[in-house]
Amino acid sequence: MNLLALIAVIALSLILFFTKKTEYKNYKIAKIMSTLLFLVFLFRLFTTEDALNNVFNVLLYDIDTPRNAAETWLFSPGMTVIIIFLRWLTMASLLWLVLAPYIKVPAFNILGQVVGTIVGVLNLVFFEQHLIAMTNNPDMLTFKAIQYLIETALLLFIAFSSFLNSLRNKEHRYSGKEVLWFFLVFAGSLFAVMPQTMMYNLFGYYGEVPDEFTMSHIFVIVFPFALIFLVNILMKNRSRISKEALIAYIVFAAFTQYFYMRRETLEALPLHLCNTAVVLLLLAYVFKIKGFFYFSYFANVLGALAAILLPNYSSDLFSYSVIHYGYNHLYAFITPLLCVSLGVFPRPTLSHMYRAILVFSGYFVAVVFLNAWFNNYANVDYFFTYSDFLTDMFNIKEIQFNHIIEFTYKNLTFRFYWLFQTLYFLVFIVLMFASWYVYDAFFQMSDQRQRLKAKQRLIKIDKLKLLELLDGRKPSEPMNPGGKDMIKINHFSKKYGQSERYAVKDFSLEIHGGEIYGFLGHNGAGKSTTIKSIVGIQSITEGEIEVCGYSIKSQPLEAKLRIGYVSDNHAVYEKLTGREYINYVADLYLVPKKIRDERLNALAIKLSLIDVIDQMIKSYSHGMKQKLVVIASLIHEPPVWILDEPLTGLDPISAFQIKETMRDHASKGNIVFFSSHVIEVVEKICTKIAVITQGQLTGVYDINVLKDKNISLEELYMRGINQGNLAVDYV
Amino acid sequence: MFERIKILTLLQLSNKTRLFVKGSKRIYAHIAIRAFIVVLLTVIVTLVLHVLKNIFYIPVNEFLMIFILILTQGLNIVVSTISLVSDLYQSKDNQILFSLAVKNDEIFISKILVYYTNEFVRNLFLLIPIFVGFGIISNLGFLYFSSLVFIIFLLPIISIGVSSFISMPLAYFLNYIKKHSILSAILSLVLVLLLFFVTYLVVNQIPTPIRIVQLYHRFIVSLTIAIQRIAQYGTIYTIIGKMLFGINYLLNLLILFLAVGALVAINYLVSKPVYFRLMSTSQENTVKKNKKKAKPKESKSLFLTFLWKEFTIARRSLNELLSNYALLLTLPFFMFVLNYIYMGMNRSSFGNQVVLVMNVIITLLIVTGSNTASATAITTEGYEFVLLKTAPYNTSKMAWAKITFNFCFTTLMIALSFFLFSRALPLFPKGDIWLLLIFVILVNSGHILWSFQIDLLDPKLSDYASTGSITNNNNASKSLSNGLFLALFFGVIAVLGFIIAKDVGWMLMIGLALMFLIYRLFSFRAHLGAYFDDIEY
Repeated sequence: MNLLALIAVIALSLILFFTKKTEYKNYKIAKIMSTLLFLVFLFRLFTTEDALNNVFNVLLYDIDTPRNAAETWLFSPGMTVIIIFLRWLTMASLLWLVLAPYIKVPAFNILGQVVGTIVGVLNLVFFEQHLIAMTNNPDMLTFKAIQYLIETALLLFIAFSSFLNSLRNKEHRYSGKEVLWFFLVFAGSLFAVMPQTMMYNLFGYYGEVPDEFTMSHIFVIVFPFALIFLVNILMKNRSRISKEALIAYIVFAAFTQYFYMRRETLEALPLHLCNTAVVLLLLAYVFKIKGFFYFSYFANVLGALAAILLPNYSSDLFSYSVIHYGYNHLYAFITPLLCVSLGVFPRPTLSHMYRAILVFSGYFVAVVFLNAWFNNYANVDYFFTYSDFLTDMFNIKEIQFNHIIEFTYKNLTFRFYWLFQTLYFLVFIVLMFASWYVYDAFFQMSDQRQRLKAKQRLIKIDKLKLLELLDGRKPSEPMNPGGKDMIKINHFSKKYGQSERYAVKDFSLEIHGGEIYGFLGHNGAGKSTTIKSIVGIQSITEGEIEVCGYSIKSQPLEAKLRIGYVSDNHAVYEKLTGREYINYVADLYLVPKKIRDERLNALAIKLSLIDVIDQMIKSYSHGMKQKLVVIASLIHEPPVWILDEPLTGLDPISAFQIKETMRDHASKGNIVFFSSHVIEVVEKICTKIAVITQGQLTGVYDINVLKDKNISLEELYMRGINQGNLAVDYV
Repeated sequence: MFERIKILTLLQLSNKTRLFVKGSKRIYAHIAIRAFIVVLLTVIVTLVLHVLKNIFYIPVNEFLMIFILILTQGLNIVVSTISLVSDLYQSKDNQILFSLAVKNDEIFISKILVYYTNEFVRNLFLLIPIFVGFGIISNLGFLYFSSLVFIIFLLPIISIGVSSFISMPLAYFLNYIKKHSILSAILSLVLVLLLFFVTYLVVNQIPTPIRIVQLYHRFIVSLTIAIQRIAQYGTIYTIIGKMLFGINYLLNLLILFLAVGALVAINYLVSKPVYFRLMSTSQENTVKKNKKKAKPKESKSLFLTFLWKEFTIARRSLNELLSNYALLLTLPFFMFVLNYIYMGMNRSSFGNQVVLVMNVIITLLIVTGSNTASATAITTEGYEFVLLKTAPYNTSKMAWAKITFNFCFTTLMIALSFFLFSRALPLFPKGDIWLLLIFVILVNSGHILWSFQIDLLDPKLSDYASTGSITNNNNASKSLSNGLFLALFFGVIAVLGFIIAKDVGWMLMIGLALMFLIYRLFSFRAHLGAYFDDIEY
């Protein structure tokens, strides 16, 4: 009969193939068939007791056990191994084939087709052995036999017809990298659905009980974290659909693994926290129910972690109970975390957590009530809210057993350990809140890492751009050799932070050597913003600024080497002496000792600071600090000297000294560019003036031209301010 | 007068809190959350008192309440004194307030009222849980609970009154030593050493072996007697405690009101002539002229330039340096006291492992708590950071210089603490002390890098430049939380390493600490390279 089924399936697939009516994979029927396959499989899962699960140690690995292994064997060891591996591959193929029509990833398709076809055929070949394992009866005409035959034939039909269809469409052309990926998916899928009794079947009792932080327990603890890390690394560059496929496979695998054995008693209902997870996660994924998902994310992960750290089993490592426990909690722990880290579900917000707390509260009340009710019939202890498992572990049994509410209803006794249960609930809620902070910390770390990577990429791109612009010249050479003795501001714009408003917009100006250039503007016009961008303190939003031909954006160090800057806020290290401060600045600009001493003495004498140069700056007046900053800015004799409001708050003598120094510096062919509010001062010492109004250049004037035309700068300025714009003329 | 005080008070309050935004739903959420916290704390305190009474058999009566009041309010007075010295005499807003057309004593009263308002709100989280907990556990009646209504208002007045009174001579003393920085540094160091010596003497009085479990009854009796004895000297708090428990209610109530009235009157009368003088002296800066001509040498590298700057500034700001690392100075105390107690107990080998775990947690808590200087290293450059931005070289080396300085200083302090500890407590296994030292230095170095990275990513240059203060600096708070996390994390690892996998305990701890340091080093280097140039003033 199995041979007949084999022939029938192959014949049907071939007929479909040769009639070329349609492509199998595009049929809606593909989804129907795969859903049908899953339902048939579920029916078997919930109705069949598999005798293979009880087979003990066929490899006779641990022969010193009290059990007689051979008594439990159904077949010869070789046949048993074949059947176990067939079952394993069948489970993996079944999930690939079930998911393939819904999530179109090549790995599921190709693996389902190839492996599914092979295992389908082999299952029919070894059909009798399967029947014996499942029903202890090789008779082909029983209900169970027909049911299993349908399942196997359906699997083979889907796999083979899909395979033929792919052949026709010449889909099986994959690169070596893709083939490698298929192998990875194959291995991962097999691990996900490993038969839970397999280790016991093959090796019998083996390994210690993985608890109390023995090496095997530490392995059990470390493994989920390592797995999450590994999966994230492997999946981070994969497509969205691949990530979806991974999660889909995991939630289905978790579900099938949980129901690996028939679960019929009250104790076996999936009402323990992590047991609930496998059902909720499947529903959450398939129907996109966020409430369920975030309940798992905040409650199940925590519960699973606690279970992994403090397990409540007492069997050895390879026993069914330990492996079942391990798989259940592994899935409850990793699935929600992977869902969020791979972006299948969005990162939780606080409202998601509140919703999760609400669902958890409902769940908690339900299990407390069910425990009280079901304990009339059996010993149930969902979520450890009824037994003394936890109170014994933490030595607080009095809290549980001294505070009881008990009542009887229709011969049923309902017992509530109210204080213990309330405290348990509150502690879990607190832990859920705490987990929020842990998650948040991880999210921040992850974001920071992403930002760092992006920034590093940007820096690399900028470097490459610079080299491209230099067109083969060294990075130490000016980008614009023609702009050697000038500041060139080209369509410069600046916005602060996330602001939409421009502090300076489309500002263009050229300043040449030997000029003293005044920069006039009202408070908040954008003078300091422009100056700070020229000297490289602030970034440039749009446009370009060149200093002596060097771009301040892409060649900042070369540009800054040619700038001396006096800030609007003469900030200096007050705990240093004047000489120490100048020396510190000279060190920054690599000025040789002899030259710096000569310049310092000359400037200190000129600015009348020589007597206090060895005093701590803390004792300096405003004017003295300003003069010290002037000396510091000139210690490297920069070709470009920029001053931001240099004369504010100075006495007449100090102001005069600084103005004289500006004239001297310009007379050597250097650029002096300074901002001011004071029109008289600007008019008196400048050769040219630029006016900025509300972030825009509104006028550029030559003082000599203005004088020749007898135009007062003050009147011109006020008129311009009132009108909102000045003509850029008189140059 | 009252109108002016009201305006001044509201002005300062609105500057310090945003709760006065009209129609903001956040106010209600804020109040609801706080109310919930108070309820939660009340439940917790009630449970604790229940445990004390029924499990530890410590009597929960008026003496315990007085004892707790003395402890909490005593601490409150210390904290309030420090805060009031800063708020009343050194605050930057004094320059604004004293230029207004108001009297000096009105400013004083308004500042006290502002402090009282904040203190009252803060106290609610402490006093309501304690009082309600006592009321429930001791089955106290209506009179008790109705008295609480005005006691909760009066208690902050007492602590602030005492603090404000003490703050006046203290401000005078601080003004004096501010002019003599060496004197203040020497005084601080002498005080620390003296405290260590006193601690050593006091702790040595504890009889060993300490056997709390075997002599539990005797221990509880002597504890109860000690509480009763201390409660007798609680002055006004003894009166409050007795009054709340119904002992001579009316008489004690009268004394309480009189005492509070007297305290308020004394503060007002004393502050009136001295407040302005103290405040203005606190704002003055005088510097002694330096007659020596220093001849700085040309530095061989930028790194050395920055390092020299750090050392010079630190050398000239010893007080700031000591206050930055004040917590670190307490390390030898904590290590000595705790280990003296541990060593005095009869311990099993398991007990020895627990002692190590506790040492790991406490040492890390203290050491990492001292790294706020690293978490504000760039921030405290303030406007001076402009100089680095305009310098034509890779000035990110300043970060390494600062880190080197912080590393050298903290390592020296930690090593000194461990040396003192090993000398003061020869019983403690020497091998463990030196391995713990290596472990702590590794974790501390990693934490310094971590803290610096926090500041690198979000320096508060403008805030610091405008206020000159790092109070309420988020980066410092983050550094502290990271330190707490590290202490807890390595505490858990220590449990695994010392209690479960004993043979590889130190290897595991030092290995992980080294991994942490290496990770932080690489992470810091990457972030420094990527973000230093982006720092904008």
